[in-house]
Formats: sequence, structure tokens, C-alpha cells
Amino acid sequence: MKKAIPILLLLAGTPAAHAAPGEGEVVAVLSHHGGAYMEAFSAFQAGFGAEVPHLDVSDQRPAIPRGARQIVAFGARAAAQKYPSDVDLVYCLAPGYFLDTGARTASTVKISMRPASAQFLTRLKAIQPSLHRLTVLWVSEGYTPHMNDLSAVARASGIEVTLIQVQRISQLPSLLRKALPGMDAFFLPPDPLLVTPDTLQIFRQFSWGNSVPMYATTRGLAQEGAVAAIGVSFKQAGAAAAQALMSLRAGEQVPDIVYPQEVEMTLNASAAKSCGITLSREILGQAAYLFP
Amino acid sequence: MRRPRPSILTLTGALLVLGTCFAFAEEGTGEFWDFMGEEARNLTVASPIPENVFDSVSNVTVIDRNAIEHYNFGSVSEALRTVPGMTVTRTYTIHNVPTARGALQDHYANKVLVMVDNVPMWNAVTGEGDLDRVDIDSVERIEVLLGPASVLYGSNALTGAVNIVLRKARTEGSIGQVGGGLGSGAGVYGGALGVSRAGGSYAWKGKDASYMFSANSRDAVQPSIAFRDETGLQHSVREYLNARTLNFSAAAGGNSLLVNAFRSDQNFLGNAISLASGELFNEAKEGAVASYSYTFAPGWGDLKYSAAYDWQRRNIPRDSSNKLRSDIVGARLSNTLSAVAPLGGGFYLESGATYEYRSAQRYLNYDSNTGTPRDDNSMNARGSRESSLYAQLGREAGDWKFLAGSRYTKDSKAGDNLSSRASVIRRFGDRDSLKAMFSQSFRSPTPFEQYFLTSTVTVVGNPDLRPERTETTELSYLTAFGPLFFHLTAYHAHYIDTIYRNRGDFTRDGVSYPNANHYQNAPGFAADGLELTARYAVPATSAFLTLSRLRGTRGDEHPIPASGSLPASASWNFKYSPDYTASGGISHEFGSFFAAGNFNLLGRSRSLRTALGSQFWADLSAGYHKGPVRHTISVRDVTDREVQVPEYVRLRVVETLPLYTGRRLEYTFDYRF
Repeated sequence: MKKAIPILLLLAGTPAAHAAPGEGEVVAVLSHHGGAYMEAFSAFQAGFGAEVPHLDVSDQRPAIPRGARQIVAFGARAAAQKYPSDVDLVYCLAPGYFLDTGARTASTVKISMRPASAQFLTRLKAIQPSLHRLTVLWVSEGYTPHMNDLSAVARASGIEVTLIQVQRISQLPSLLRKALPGMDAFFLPPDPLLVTPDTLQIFRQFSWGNSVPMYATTRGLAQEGAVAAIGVSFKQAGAAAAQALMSLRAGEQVPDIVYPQEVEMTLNASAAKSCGITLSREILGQAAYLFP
Repeated sequence: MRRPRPSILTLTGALLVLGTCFAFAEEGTGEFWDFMGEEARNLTVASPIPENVFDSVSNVTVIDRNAIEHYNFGSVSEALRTVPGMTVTRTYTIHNVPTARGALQDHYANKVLVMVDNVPMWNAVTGEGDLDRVDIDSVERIEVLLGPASVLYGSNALTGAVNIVLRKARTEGSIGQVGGGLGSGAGVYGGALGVSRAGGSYAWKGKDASYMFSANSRDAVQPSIAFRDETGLQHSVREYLNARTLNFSAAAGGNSLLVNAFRSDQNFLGNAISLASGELFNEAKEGAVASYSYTFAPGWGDLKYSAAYDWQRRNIPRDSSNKLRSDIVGARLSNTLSAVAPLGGGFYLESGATYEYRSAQRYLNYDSNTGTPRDDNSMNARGSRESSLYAQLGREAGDWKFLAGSRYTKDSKAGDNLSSRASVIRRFGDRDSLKAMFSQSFRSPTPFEQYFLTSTVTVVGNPDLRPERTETTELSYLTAFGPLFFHLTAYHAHYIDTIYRNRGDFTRDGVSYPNANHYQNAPGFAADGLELTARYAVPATSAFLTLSRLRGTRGDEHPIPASGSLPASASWNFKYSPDYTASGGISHEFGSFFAAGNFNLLGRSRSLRTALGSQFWADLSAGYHKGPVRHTISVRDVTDREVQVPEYVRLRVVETLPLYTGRRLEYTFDYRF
């Protein structure tokens, strides 16, 4: 019994470790306890300024505490759980996933992993001033209206965008061959149904073999052969989720999709060389990461 | 006599150490791919179904790694039994005979092509493939193509093809696994408890290169049963199949290399011509394949050259004293050049040429005590050359996909063949398609079927055999919605000039052999069938149900004369095929715990003289996984029944053979890194 006392005291003290402003009102739900999700969650906690209890839904449905008023979901699986409709939901790290907000009465905010289109295109032009014809490929249906928006913004910037929604991955080589004469570069949004280790080989061979730059939004793709990745890192997504949550708690209006202002640029020097692009000092100075 | 056993664990350990040296230290992208993979799972409507199943111009079923682990399949054969239209049965002299749509394999399993990483592997003397040359722990997925496939693969893909794809690292970095197990009745001597399996694998992938290797040992011993032999005597017998396998594959740039080697030791109820001895002497199978291919893109398309050397040996007992044995050795050397080129307008052309040299090096009967040759069975240095050309023209136009093509084959010893195919696919959505397919296939007779002749006239080969052929017309509908997937196929198959072993008067080279076993081509026969697969998958639960229904004609019916006290009867292919088969399974994860159950059901069938009722067996397993370690306890054949199948090879002997003889318990563990 004596041994049990310190354990009971320890357990009793545990909630104190979670004490925070609005304790119990904010709950984080992670698709998986680890990797990118944990990286973003740590940045979220740092930005929020308090420890937030978190649940892992990789092998079970989350038991949301009764008093929860705001939920921050990391990953599509976490975002797709059934939450009370009157609880605010901020979700991030869910590329290609767009929650149907029709039945929700409280705020629903998605943190985009893409920067705002104008910001993205300005960076592309800085890297490749000769860029006039950009081809965009994606699979996930949720991206379709957003790629149309990107096309409209690009047209205003003097860039003609060709949109290709890939229906079947097996068609990818022939689609790329067909589109080759009309492109100066191509862009892959962070679409998990399109970007896989197998398709990446096709994209890389096509890009390097035809000297057509490949652009993406995630550092991993720049490391794998894209000339540049301009996007929101896992940490930045977590920090943006914290910012959005605090705005909601302050009663401010937050748009349905937040495009974080702070973005990360990663460059791949070998890929740039293969595609005949010279990276200026100014661009190199802006890069957060440079792969040789 | 104690047989020397290779130390697979030692070999595995050495290979693992060697492999670790090649894993270069660099910043990996593993976390990125893990993230993308996890997110893709949440966006895909029926994640376990690869897209190419909907888009493939053939009737393809895929058993992937998830299914293998969820349902705890113990071997490639067990996994294949869950594919509708595919049964894996046994005969008097062969275990694990893949049988597609009820078309029997006769004495040698040479009508369903077995491949590893798309490299065909079969014995040049008798044509048989071997499902036990790859351990299930080394398998990433199994692709099953039902129906004729000669335009793609040439001879031997007569009624279907099984492609066993090895496990590899899919993203940059490395993966590995070591495991072991204890089983009841396992081990060479079938003790109460012994080591049932041991092995491991390691795979590494870099930016432009990858490799994997695996080494496994698995002992499968059936509980002993009282078996009544052809003389009416009853014996206690116990069958085993112990396999050791080794795989290595590597790829860099456009180059790829595959090495597969195996040895299996097994016994049969009918190794000996007479079972009166009650002995079940060991049979050894060995084989090694080395294959190299180079792929490059010259600008107008893709070009691939591949070469493979496939060597196989089988050493079998021939009499009731194990004094007379046969050593069967053959090899194949094949070269293939293939190309795919887009032609514009949505058209593309696939074409290629294959040249293959087959050498039946020996089928030697010898005295096992002295090694003295007794009889070469008229099989020494029988070689043949086969060359073929194929072309397929395809077109993708919106939601339609068309493909038509032919392969012309010229065989120096077995006659020529032209096989064709045509497929039309209509896509109604991303995961919704209807396919109509017509395909033809052939199999050249093997040197054994053509030339075998022994002084005791056990069987006489027929040099005048024509290649056997099949033609199939089928309609398939595949759809997936939410977590559900359905695949329904209706087909009509026609079998022409089927090669089978008959008994009767036969003349070869002017010499008459009265009442002798000999090979001949059968009259044509046909079958109609239905196959259904239903699968359900959500993150913690998966389930499947498969059904197949078959109705065959008796066009190949031939009389079987009375034998001793056994009355005369008649035999035809579909007499022995069950009229329906079914299988199902369910698996569920409860946090760190998991459980699974599978069942198989073979409908009523017939043996030569009796009716055989439906046969049912089921496996259960449960386990626990935490971090890299996984423990599983399995009960195989949980009802403890003897599962019987008709014996269709050595007619006039026994009516049925046991597929499983009783309940077995197995514990396995895996450590993944």
C-alpha cells in the first residue's frame, strides 16, 4: 500500500502538468503519433503557448472530452473523424483532403500546405524567369477548383497554365509525353494520390530527360529531384494552426482555407543544372534548404 | 538416416551483416514518404485494390502484403486458394499443384506458369513450376492471371499465370525482418514440437538503386494418418514438405538482376510404385535462376532486353526399397527483347521477340547404393529451340481501352503455334470497369511427354504430340465503393488437344506397346464458370469472400478398364473438379492485438469410382504486436478433419488423397527493422 501512495500522488499530479489557458477546451487529434504529425503538433504547441492533450487515431476512434470546444486535427484521418458539429475544427497536414463543412455549425478551417497562388507563382518566376507555360497535374478531386483558381491567378501574371487531372496513373507517361511540347515547367501540388515513389521516378526521368523543371511544395520532393519546392513545412503548418486557433478563440473571422504567409523554399542544384536553370544568388539566399 | 540440413540461420545472419554494409548514410526521405503514404490511404476509396486491377487488359487478382499479413497465410499456396477459380490441390506425386478453372495438371504441374518478379521458372524436362520456391515471408504480392496468357508469356501459361513479386523497399531507406516459429509436428522427424520456420529479409533503396535479399527455411509436416494403399494394406504415414529458399534482386539505373534458388525435401504417399512397403522416401527438388534485364528509353518509347538461365533438378525414389532412384535435370536459357512505343492518337504498340533454348539434360534411373546408371529412359541430351514473335496494338480513348495482339511461336521439336488475344475495357469511373476479353494459349509438349521410354515400359512418350491449346471468352465487372470491392467474372473456356496420360495399345517408331501408359492429345472439351470476389477494408478490419462455380463438358471422356477387384469406369477432366469452391476470411485489430480467421470450401466432386462430398477447413490466428515485434499463434485446420481431394493421376489405385490430415498449432514471431 505504501508503494501505491507515490503512484497515486503522481497520477493525481498529472493533470497539473497539462494545466493551460482554456484547459480541456482544446484537444489535438493526430492521424499517427509520430513523424510529420508529431513535428507539426510540437510546433502547434509552441505557437499556442500551452500544453494541449492529444489523441492518436491510428488504431482507434478518439474519445473527445465532453468539455472540448476546439479540435485541431493533424492529418486527413484525424480530420475525417466524426466531431460534434458545434466544436471548432482546425485541420492541417491533410493535402488533397477538403472536409465537407455543410453539416457543421462551428468554424472549420483548413491550413493549406500550398502557399497562396500569387506568392507561389512570383517565386517560380524568380527561379525561372523564362516561365510562360506551366502544366499542373493532380489526381484528388478536391484539388480541382483550387487548380482552376491557380490557373486564373497565373493568367493574370502572364503564365499560361495547362491543367491535367490524371484519371489513371497508368496514363501518366503518355499524358506527360503529350503535354511536353506545351510546357516550360510542371507543378505537382502535394497530392498523395499522385505523388508516390513509383510516379516520382516517372516525373524525375521526364523532368531531367527533357530539361523541363519540376516544381513542388514539399521539401521531400525537392530532395527527390524537383528543381524547387515552395510550400508550407510541417512545422509551419503547425504554427499556422496555432495562429488560426488563437484567432478563433479571440472571436476573429478566419477564412475556410488559410494559406500561411511564412513558406519554405527548398532548392535542388543538380535538378536545376539538369534542366538548364541557373539559380541566382538572390534565390539561393532565400532558400531554407539547398540540396547539392 | 539423418539428412544433412543447411544452416539457413547462419546464412541469413551473414547476408544481413553483408547487406548492412551497403546501406549508405544519407539524409533520407522516409518521413516524407511515410506521410504521403498515410495521407494517400485516407484519400483512396478501397485502398487494398491496386489500380491496375481495374485497368488491366487481363483478368488479374492481386493478393498483397496486407492481405498476407492480415489473414496470416502460411504459404503461397494457401494464399492462392483464396482466389476464385484457382485451386491448389495435390496428386499422388506432387504437392501444391496450382489448378486454374478446373483444368487439371496431369502428372506435372505445367499448365499454370509460375514466375518470380515476372521471370518464368519451370523444369525443362517435365515443364513443372514450383510454388514453394519462394517463402511467403519474402512476398510483397502475388498476381494471379486466370485464363490463357501465351501472347504475354509464351508456352506454359496455358490456363493461367502466377507472378510472385518479392518484397522490396518502396521508399528510400531500408527495411528488414527476421522471424522464426515453432510448430506441432514440425521438423524433419515430425516430433511433437519443432522449428517450423526461420528466416529473414533485408531490402535497401537509394535514389537510383535498390537491392533485397531473403533467406528462409520452412518445415510443414502433416499429422500422421492411417492410409490404405493400393494393395489394401493400411499404414501409418506422415507427409512433409520442407523448403529452403534464397532470393536476391538488385536494380540500378535501367539494370536489374534477380537470383532465386531453392531446395525442397518432401515425401509422398506414392513415391514408390508400390505402397506395400509403407515407405515414403525423400524426394529432393532443387533449382536456381539468374535473370538480368536492361531497360532504356531511346526517345521513341521503351526498350527492354532480358536474359534468364533457369536450372532445375528433381531426384525421386522409384521403388519400394529406395534402391532405384531417378535424377531429372534440365535447364532453359531465354533471351527476350521487347519494346513499347506510343504511336500517336492514343495508340501504342507492344512487340517483342524471344529465343529460348531448352535442354533436358537427363532423366536417369540409377542404383542409389552404388550410383550405377540403370536406364537413361531415352531422355539423354534432349534439346529444343523455341523462338517467337509477338505484337500487341493498344489504344486508350477516353473511358475506353482496347488491346489486340498475337504471338507466333516456332518450336524445333513440337510444332508451331499462333495465339491471339483481344480485350476491350470500358471505364465508368476511377474504380468501376467492365472488361470483355478473348484469349488463346498453348503449351508445347515437354521432352518427357515426347520421348520418355524406359525398359520396364512404365510410360511411353509420344513424339507426335501436338501443342495443347485453350481459348477463353470472358466478361468481367469490377467496382469499388467506400470500403467495398467486387469483381465478378463469367467465362467460357474451350480446351483443345489437351495432353494427358492414357493407358492402352500404343505404337511408337514402329514398335507396339500393348496396354501401356502413353501420352496423347485428348478430344476437345469445354467449361463455363462464374467467379466472384468481394472484399471489405477499413483501417482496423478487413474481410473477403470468394465464390466460383464451374460446369464442364465430358468431351474428353475415355474408359478406364477394371483393375483387379476394382470395376471399370470412365474418366474426364471435369469429373474431378469440385462444382463450386468458396473461401472467406476476416481479420481485426484491437489496439495492439489482432485476430484472423479463414475458411476454404470445396464443393462436391467425384473420384474415379465414388462421389466425394464437400470439404471444409479453416484456420484461426491471434497475436500481439508492439513496436517492431509481432507474435502470432495459429491453429491450422482447426476442425481437425482430414481434407480429401480426388486422385486423378494414378487412376486404378486409390480414390482420394489427403490435402490436410489434422489440426496443427504454430507459434511465430517477427522482428522488423
